[in-house]
Amino acid sequence: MNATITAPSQNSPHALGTPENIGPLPLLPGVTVLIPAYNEEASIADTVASVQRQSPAAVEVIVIDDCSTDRTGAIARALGATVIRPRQNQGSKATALNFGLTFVRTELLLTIDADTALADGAIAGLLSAMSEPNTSAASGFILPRHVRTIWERGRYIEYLYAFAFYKPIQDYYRKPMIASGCFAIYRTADVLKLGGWSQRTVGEDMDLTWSLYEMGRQVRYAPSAVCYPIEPHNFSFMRKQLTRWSHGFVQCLRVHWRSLWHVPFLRMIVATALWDATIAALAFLILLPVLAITVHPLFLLGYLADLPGIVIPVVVEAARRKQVCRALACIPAFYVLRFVNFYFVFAAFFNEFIVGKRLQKFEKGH
Amino acid sequence: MIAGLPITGIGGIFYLLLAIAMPFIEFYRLLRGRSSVAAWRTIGFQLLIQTGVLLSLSFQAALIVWLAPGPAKQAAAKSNQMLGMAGVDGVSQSHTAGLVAAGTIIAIMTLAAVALSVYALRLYFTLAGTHRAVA
Repeated sequence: MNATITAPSQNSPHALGTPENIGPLPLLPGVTVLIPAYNEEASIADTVASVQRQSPAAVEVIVIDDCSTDRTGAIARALGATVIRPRQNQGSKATALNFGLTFVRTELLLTIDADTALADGAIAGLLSAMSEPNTSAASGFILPRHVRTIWERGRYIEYLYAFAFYKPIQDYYRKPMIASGCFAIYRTADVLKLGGWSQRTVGEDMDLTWSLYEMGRQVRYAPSAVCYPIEPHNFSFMRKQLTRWSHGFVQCLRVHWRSLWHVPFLRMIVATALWDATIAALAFLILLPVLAITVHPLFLLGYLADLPGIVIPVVVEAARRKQVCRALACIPAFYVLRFVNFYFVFAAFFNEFIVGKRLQKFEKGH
Repeated sequence: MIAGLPITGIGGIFYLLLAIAMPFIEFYRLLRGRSSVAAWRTIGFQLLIQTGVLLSLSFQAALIVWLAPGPAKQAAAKSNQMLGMAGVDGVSQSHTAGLVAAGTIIAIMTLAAVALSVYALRLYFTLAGTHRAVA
């Protein structure tokens, strides 16, 4: 299909624009790809082209052009995607996705960020993870497309570590902490059952994942499904992304804490993540320097205490990808990003819980 | 999305213990006819990682003992006494093992405390919910 659809009139089937209002149309077999985009003319062509290279092919590729002021819509349309455009900017990725959800007529839907390109076989990888009927969502392996600046290098190590070490173990125990929103597949009926992507948090992907668990559904991780997002290349963009991620995590804790107790294993994953993000990080920032000054300078070696625990998973995964030298060269950047992470996690907890200042504005992180 | 990786803290030991448990769980599944080649592949890869982590942690501890023998030996002696590994003179023959053990024990004790807190809170909220429902 090659068309542009603007927000429908009041009499149209899509008039209300909310997922709860989709009629009881039967869902067809296949996958619809939803790509929310706002001023993405530099990257949208790569994203759409990478989707079109996939086998099996998507039934439809829908680009939600969220009132871009650049040529995003025109480029996507020229490549053969269906471009839909709301009457006004939706303000967040969740609302843009919900607008797109009203156009989905297939059993499965796949969301991809407009700055994310897929490796060949990525959709097939996610589909294989959806083979069990109780599985509602799956996500894949993420690697930064560019690894040039200090921020991209730090993120590269974070991803290698998390997707080689944490995620496969979480998946073995059937509880990946999150189906990452930049590239994930969902059962449309289950997303509709939850009313689409919630706008109560700025971490809409984590919120949806935890809601699916609370519904008794499964979420999986498919390491063979690889995607390459453009990561923040400077501090300004990194600040926006980390602010959103940290607040998203805190807001999800706030929304889900009562029901999380009843989701086996996920509660322990979240508890350890919470401990490491707060208490352990505080000890890292304050306790180590205090001990180094008052007891012995040797305590400063504590900053390198978990270095083997970081380097080994990263190097083993990098070896599989023939990127060992690149990975080793990026380790120092990881330490820089780690200290920046401290600040944003603390700031999020402080603002959300102590000051009571909720982050509501959705700012793009790239 | 991951909310950054400020520190591995107890997360590192938590996932290490989970990885160590995986072959036993998979063996149980194998006996029940529910195992798969893909699962064993994941387990093999994780065990390779965990072996590497444990070896490199030991190497790191040995390096610390070599670089700063005095304070490292004191710390090792204390942890060895805690572990009941002390020799006649109160110091184990292996300072390196003592340092690795000390770090591991602290992390496991913290993890256990967090796990207990999670289960205690869960019990509390379950009971509170039941109490509210009865009332």
